[in-house]
Amino acid sequence: MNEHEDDLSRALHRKVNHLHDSPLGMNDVQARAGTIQRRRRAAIGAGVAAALVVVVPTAIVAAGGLDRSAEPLPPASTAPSVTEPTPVEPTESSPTRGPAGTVPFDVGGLPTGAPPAIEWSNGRDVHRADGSVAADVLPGEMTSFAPMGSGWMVSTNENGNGLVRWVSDSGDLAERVDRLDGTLVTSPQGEVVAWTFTNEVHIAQRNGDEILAMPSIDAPGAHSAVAVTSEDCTEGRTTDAGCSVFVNTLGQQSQVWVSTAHGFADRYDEELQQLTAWSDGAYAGITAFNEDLTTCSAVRDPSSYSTLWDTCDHRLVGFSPDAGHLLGVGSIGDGFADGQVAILDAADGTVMVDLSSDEKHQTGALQLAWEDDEHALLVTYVDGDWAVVRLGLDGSMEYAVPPRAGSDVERPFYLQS
Amino acid sequence: MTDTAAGAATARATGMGVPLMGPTTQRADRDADFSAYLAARQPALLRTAYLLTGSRADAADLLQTSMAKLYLAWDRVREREAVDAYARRIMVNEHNSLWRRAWKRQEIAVDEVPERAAHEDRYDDGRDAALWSFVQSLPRRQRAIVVLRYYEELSEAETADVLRISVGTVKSQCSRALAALRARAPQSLDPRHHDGQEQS
Repeated sequence: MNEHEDDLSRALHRKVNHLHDSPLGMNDVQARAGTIQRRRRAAIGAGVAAALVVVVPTAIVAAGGLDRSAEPLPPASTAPSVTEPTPVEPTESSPTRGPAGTVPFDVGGLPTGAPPAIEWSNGRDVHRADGSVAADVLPGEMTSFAPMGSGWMVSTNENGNGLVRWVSDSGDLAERVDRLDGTLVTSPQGEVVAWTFTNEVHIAQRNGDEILAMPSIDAPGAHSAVAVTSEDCTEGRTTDAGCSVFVNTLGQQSQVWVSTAHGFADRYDEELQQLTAWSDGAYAGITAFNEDLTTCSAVRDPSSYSTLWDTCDHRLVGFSPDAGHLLGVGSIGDGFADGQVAILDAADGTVMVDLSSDEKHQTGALQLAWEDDEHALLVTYVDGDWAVVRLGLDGSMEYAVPPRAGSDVERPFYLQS
Repeated sequence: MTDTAAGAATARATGMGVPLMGPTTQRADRDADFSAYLAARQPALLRTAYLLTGSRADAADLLQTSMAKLYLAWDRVREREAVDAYARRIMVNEHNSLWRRAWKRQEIAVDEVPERAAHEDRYDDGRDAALWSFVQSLPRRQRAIVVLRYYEELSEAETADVLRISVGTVKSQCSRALAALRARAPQSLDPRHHDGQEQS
């Protein structure tokens, strides 16, 4: 060491030499460990809600169900024109993990492709799928948004309180404000938006004109809506009207409940501790929270409640619009972001793409969304740069929105619910 | 760390290298094992936490969370000789964690926990205070490197291993920190400038 280093070393030692106490006992450690475990479980549940809502958007665009523009919306399949995608080379291969193997989750220096084919926001402006921008329309402290009619259902966090309201495309706020826990979830075609507050389940539909209370969940603790099954929650309006809202309980007991427009709420599939992805023909969820904080998940058949396949390597957070693939994240949910992102074959669990952060690439994904049947969008953060990255079924990646420097707590990109 | 007496006794009784124990016994042994580690290493880890955070209250909180995470992962820590390095890694990562920083930023309404009276060091002629002020001004990651290198006195390779970064990054970050130190207050921080006299 040189003199400066010696001096620095001595100064640091002298600064703390007087500290000899032991403020912690085992009880303190175990109490904090319990808090961490509960928080991780809640984070997984909240992450599930955030991921699930994104399965829908392409269907919205393709169906043209929301008449926001006189111009026809481009078909989703044309939007992600992957320009010179960067192929990812596997660093190792395993026959049980599909053809791609695990590759570093490296989102540096990617080419820039087409903008997202679903709506996204920086928290104030909404960038529509057709390329137009609704400037400065969303209220501050936005946590999630979902297109509805000529505007959006928007959730915000105001002084620690979750609120949800309809906002017009000129930024006018509806008078009615509801409370919410968690985030918004949407039906497959985007006609219904659902949320929970305490044990209450609410939905908004018919362009935001109807906000209805669904049957409440008869279980203690916090809850989070994770899926809405159909496009009209008013029973009897048409022959096949009536929806179901799936809800995870996040308290002491992890359970899946379903609140139906037929007037009751009940436990759903007691083999599951949390529902994490839903489609018409299959659903996925967490079957076990393990002592070491890993989880095990299964894809289940709704007609027989039988397991089609299972895995302890990933949590399964969203079916593609055609239900052919599943987005996966790491088995352990650790709060801020997922350092592992995967695409799996929904039929048998074959891992098609498996990206994993490592020492060199400490990338985290904060939101995952299916853009169409063959592409997912990821809101990523690494080393002070945020980006929206498009990920193909073959593992190719490109920027859908190029990197933007920003603080880790000032997220600039939100994908629509 | 070594096996607990109970664990070793069970292992001997079964004649196997791996003790055969029920869940309750396993948990009791694990807790005893961890408790012994906590008692032995807590003061040293608290000192490191203090240098990372800059206050005793924050250090105690960081230590509590880090020890809780270590406790949760205790069964996966295969090499007991590496526990200290693992604990330091958890502590630095926790201190740098995005969650924690966001959470700390939201802590507005909470009353400040009164700090204990500042420690008076009879050897401190003002340079220590200046050096400490300099260390506190460093970005979190660079500060962690400085603490591990110049307080924990880890080698560049050991520091790189704890932080999961390259040795080159450790070198360059230390070099920048020292350059900044020299540039910041050449008189008061210069080791040759002691008690107002140049040392030859």
